[in-house]
Amino acid sequence: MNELLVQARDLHRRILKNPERKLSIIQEFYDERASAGDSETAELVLIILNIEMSNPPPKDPLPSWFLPLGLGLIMIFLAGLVVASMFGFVVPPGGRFALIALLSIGVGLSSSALGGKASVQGQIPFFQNSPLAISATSGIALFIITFVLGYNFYIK
Amino acid sequence: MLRINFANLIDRHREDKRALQAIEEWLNRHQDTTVLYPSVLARETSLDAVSLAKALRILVKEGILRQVYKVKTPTGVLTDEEFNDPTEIPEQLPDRLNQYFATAESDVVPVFQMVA
Repeated sequence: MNELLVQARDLHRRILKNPERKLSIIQEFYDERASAGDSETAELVLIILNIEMSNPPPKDPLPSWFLPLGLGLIMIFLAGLVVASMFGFVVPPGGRFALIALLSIGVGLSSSALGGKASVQGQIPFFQNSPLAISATSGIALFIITFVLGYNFYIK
Repeated sequence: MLRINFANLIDRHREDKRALQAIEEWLNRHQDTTVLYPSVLARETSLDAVSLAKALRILVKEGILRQVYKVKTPTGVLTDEEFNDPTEIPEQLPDRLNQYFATAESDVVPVFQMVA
């Protein structure tokens, strides 16, 4: 790793450990470098620090095959159901729960591809007078929404 | 407004060509800009922090930009006061409403001004 980046990240760590001394830490760093006749490095490190603190590096993204796989499985699954129904094979009532669960997981895993920044909150509907509440966003929210809708309209 | 051209500068700093070109393009897309913030440039040019910092410092040394430091107030705006280096920043500063705040935990922001 670049030496300037190492110094900027080291400075960042020191600031995170003592945020109440942020200015002092920066001033001490600059002073040390300037005294050593290397204020140019100090300037560079402070610019890098500012960029890194303002634009933290993104977290590791999902593998590129993740979304196409999720969407592909949903499409194959739904197409299979349509073909099966054309030949008179329908999902028995006992298998509907598994069907909805599988569809919900697929939708949840594919949430980004389906444009999902969904959110959901409220009481869990399966338990009457439930003291439990939920709050979720994105893939988990889409899983819950699909599952609850499927349960209410297809299983109940 | 005249287009900015770093061709001569790039000839003298071949190793920083990509970053200088990216800044040149950015400046030509934002011709009314007089102040450059490294965090904004990093986001909008997709340059890595080290390359961008080096290119900005070249522009300072070439007299195209002037670097100062500003302090972020607790409300998230930058103070009007400018400092040549962080050691000049006092313990307290007035914000835009002239209310003094302690600078101990404040962000120190390098700011680059276009030299006319």
